[in-house]
Amino acid sequence: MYAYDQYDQTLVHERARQFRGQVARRISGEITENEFKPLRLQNGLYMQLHAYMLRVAIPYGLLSSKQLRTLAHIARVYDRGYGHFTTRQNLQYNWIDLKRMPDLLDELASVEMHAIQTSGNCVRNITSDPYAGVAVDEFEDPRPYAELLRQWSTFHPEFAALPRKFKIAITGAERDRAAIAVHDIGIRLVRREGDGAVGLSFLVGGGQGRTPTLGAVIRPWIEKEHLLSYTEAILRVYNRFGRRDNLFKARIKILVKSLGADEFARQVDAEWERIKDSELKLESSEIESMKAFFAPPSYDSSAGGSLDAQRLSKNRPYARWVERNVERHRVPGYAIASISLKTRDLPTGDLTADQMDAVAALADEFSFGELVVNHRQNLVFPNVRIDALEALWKRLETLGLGLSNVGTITDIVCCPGLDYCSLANARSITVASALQERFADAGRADEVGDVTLNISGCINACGHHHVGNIGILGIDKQGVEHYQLMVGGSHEDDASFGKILGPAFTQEEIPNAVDRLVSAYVALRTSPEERFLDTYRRLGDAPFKERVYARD
Amino acid sequence: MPWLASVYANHLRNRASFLIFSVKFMTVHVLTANRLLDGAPLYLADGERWVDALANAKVLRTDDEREHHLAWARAQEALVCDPYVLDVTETTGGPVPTSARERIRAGGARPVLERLGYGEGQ
Repeated sequence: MYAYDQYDQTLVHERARQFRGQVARRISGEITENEFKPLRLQNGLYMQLHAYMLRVAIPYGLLSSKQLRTLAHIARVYDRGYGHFTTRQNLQYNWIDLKRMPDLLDELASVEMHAIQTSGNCVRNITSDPYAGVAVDEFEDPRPYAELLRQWSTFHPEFAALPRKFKIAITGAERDRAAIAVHDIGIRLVRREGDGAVGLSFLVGGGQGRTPTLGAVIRPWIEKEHLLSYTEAILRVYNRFGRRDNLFKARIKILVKSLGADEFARQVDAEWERIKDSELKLESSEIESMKAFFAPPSYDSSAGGSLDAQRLSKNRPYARWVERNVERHRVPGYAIASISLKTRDLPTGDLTADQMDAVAALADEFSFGELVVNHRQNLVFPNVRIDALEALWKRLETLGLGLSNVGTITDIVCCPGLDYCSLANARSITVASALQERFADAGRADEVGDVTLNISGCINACGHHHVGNIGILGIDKQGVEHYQLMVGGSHEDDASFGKILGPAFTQEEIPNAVDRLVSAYVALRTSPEERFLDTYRRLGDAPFKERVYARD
Repeated sequence: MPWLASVYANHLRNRASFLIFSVKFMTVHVLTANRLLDGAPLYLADGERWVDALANAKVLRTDDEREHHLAWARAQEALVCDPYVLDVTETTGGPVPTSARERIRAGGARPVLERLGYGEGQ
């Protein structure tokens, strides 16, 4: 993975030192809250419902075991013993003491981490494919490009005060595991028709929130050397013409919609012509030296075994885990293993400090000391020997992390909701827990098969409810938490947004409603092979609506 | 019968809470802010002091009262951040927020931690 040079290191230490002074001046009364608030937000520190929340950046979700141990230490010493992995591949702490924040930032800086640009109207954490570098369907590893984007966007003076926050995702694979269609900019490494040369395809104007929009391709292919210049051209057009008069119309998707994708692309191209040969143009040596940071680990060429054989193991719980949580790796003898953070013991995406330490030890032992946070709030060990999978699973079981539910209805994506968040209208963790109870029977979850279920506590959609096959949106109806049920969303290559099925449900009613929805699918599908989404797309919402709202 | 409508609306509002039979006579307010050092919710009580419990908060009945106390709270920057007033219903058990958000916020950290399986945290 990327290792900080002296500039990166100086930058994060300096930032921690600056914030120490800012906190001291705020507490002494030298600066006002209005002056302090943008400073704390620039360091990821939000005021939430009950306490300060700190969002720590995890660039493209990639963590070393050493970093995870430090995150565990911070959870234990500076917070209440746990952390929450988010849909933007970051980590949040929920109970932060303002006075101790500067020390906390020093701890992060000591392991090449920070909370810079995890809030505010700037370019946020760059996200990517959790299987980057190991996926069988990958054209090229996107991480060197994600890191180049991270460095370009960090403290970019021109883009420190954009009309609104800005999210970029990049993938290098055929299958989209980074939800690029619902980002302000989605970048894909693709092969050009004809000569097969790998370049970049740019989608712009995707997003969720209040106005869910799928990104439009404005550049189907461009040389990789133009990664930064073309991205900068997009940001320049947005920075100049994006609306600043209305918070709800300030995202780039609104600008792209109002101009039309073709006109937006024309303006970007005009800007790009001016800067494409500037210092933003990447030299091939720069790309190559960045790629060196992401060189494959020392795989053991004698590693053997097949995943098919593991799936036929007589140890049925283990075989089920392989079936659900393990995927093929590009190197023979290795596999990609997901650790589900959707246990019934803790809220979705949460991990205790002790579990973090234990997972870090497992990453050292089983995955070359690296792991990845994915946007479905699970952890991925990208490099596990197939002949070590069973040993890994056994160790995960002892930690309560051996759950075999990736991709099933209990693999629920869920924002912090009204238990923590000051923007939320309704609790989401409570609903996720109730649904996990409801579908706890593994046989039932297996019968239902692949389905994504996403919950957000408000329209801002941190739980990505728009793109869940089943989406749940929390609302406040006359002071009482209610939940709208949405159907038909997808975050993958066939990206789509769910439609509201009908009137909202109370917290008590929603598990039954989801149960009826799922039962309707099982009854209506042509065969167990027909996915939930395909059944819905074939039949539309009428038969689902009829069954979900049927009077008992 | 506007008062009856008000009673019914209030019943609906609180049906998810323990205050099923409370009666609302008028919309009143409470002033709140977050403590600077740890972000914990605080409420304005009689005698212009901050308290942790919403039950002990002072109920503000007039625009003048709200404006006066907001101005005071804004000058309390050494202790608190972002003061604002919230809608409450007066009940025998004290003021109860009309929004789910403020009811959960007023419940404090402990119920959240217990509900989510963390006890009181570490």
